[in-house]
Amino acid sequence: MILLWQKNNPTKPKRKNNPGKIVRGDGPEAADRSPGPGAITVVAVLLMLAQACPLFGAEVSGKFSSLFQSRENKDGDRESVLDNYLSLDADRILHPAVSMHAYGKYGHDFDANFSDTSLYYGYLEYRTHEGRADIKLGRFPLSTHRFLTVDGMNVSLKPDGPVGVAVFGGASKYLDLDPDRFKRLFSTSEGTIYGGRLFLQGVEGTRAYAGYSREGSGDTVYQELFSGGAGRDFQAILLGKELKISADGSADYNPDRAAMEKMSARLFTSFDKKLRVLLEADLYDVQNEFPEGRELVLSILSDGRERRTFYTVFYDLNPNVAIYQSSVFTSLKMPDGGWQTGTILKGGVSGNFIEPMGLDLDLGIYRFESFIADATGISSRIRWRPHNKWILEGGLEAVSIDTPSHHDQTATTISGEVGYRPKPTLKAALFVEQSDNPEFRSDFRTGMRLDYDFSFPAGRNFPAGEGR
Amino acid sequence: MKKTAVILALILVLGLFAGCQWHEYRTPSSTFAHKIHAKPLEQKGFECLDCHRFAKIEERDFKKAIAASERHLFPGKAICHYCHVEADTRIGDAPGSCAMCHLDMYAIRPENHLLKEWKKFHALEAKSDRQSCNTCHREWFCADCHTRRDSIQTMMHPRTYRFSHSVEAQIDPASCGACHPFRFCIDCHSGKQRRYN
Repeated sequence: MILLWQKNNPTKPKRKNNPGKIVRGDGPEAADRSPGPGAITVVAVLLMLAQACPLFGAEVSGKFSSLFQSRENKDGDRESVLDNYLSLDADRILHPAVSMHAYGKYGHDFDANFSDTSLYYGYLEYRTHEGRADIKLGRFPLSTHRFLTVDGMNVSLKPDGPVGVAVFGGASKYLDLDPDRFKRLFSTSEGTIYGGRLFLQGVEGTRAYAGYSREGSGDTVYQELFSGGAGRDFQAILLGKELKISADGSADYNPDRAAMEKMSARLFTSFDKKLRVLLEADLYDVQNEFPEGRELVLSILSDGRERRTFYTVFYDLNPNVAIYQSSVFTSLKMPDGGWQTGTILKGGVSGNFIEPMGLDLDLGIYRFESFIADATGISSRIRWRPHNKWILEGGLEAVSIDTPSHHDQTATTISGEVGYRPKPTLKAALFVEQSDNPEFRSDFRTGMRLDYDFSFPAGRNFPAGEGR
Repeated sequence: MKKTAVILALILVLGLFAGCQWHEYRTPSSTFAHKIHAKPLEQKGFECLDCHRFAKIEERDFKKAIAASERHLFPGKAICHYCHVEADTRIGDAPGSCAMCHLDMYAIRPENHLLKEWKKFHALEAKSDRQSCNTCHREWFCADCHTRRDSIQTMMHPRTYRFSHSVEAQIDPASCGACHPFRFCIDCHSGKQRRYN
């Protein structure tokens, strides 16, 4: 159950119209991607689970999402890809506290006759009432100092009292390590991660945690962090109106470097439910020992230090229309010792007319100002449900970049989608997108997607609310 | 471009004429159908009074229950969520998708989820209080966004982002690193086997 993952089937790797050009499967990396029994194992285990459910009883629910897209670029090359995603939750297997959760992908490229299977997570869970004891075993997503995937175990306990405890350990897994966009394989030779966390529980409107994590391989430490965070919600009446404030802060300390790698502070304010303001400030100072290719982007594009201040303001003009404005101000410490600044400005209007006419829309403009170039763009999106079963969507985006060497180059994308929703759990849609891009490919993409939410009891039924 | 315009126009016309019944906004209470719920609730051993606060309806007299409860005796979201949402009590027959009953997802959005901007700054909340995320989102929701790429749906970046990403990367590289390791950059910029660039 734990060790079932991805399959590569690197058959016919070359692009049809440019047989001389390496597309995938060639070169030294291909040698490492020998066909494995992963996909067969995944299917076999899912079949076994499906067989086992009626015997032991389970409550199965999940979501199936399928996306087929065909795209053609200016050179006439075509790519037709089918991606299927399945999330599966089987609750109350054998015992009301035992469940199984999985999320995976099966993709097929019709032009290259290439398949790809990945299991993003798949774990068994033992969870008692209100999560007082929660044990996960297998591949699971983990939020520590960052979001990552771990093959291992996580144990969380919430005893009586204000403090809960969690410990985790296993092999850390990262996506985006395959050179081909079509495939998103997990790495196979990464390090291990272990750690733990103490967290506050049962205190209304207050949250806090303290944690430790160490990621490395053998004696090499990629990243070792002590983390802490706290937050509190406040409520008051100001000028006869409701005022809500949430304040949060967190810090990651690296004992190896005796340095704070990241500090964040955030303040969220809501006044009269009409005015909402989010303020955040972050300080980064990262230097890591990650293997080649897995370095943090920040440590490559600067000397690892960034200061960032962000705010966004939303104001509801009326129940249907809101205006917003947000800004990001950054300073980057460059390897030459100087600081470079940058600014992102965004603004727009958001309309929600779902109740009166089934319509919602967003229109925004933005401006990026960096030390290498400036960019100005617009984005618009409209979604309309003229009928309870039909959903129409359309969008238009354009961005213009002004650099010293290329003046005012503009990229545009226009897209549209017709969705049909015969029942609340099923939606099918046809879409089309035209992208014109002066630097990279321009393409015309069409396709369809299907989303299906399902749930059914299998085998023995526990009465509602029983157990745990 | 002409091809796109024609297709979009066709799609819009088709969509416009497809419906014979115009949009009708439904709240969760008006979406509820006793017809669908009666059998599974009975199988699970629920009585009318488990959901509704009225006293004089005979046990399992569903006709009267329907008549009385359709509008005026909607028992509240806690009752619906008991079977559909809550991790400890939900039952397998009950679909857990929010969109099942909430046609307007904006209406149930937490106040601090400020449209697209929230995606960029949700990490602090997710780290300190994951439980509050799990009130509405299941694990796959996180994995879907953090792993799925090149979808027709815009998850994080604008559709034109490939063209303009270098500008933002030079302004705020820390936010790139929240999802992408450096190899993500190398693969494209080295022209290494990435199709259709």
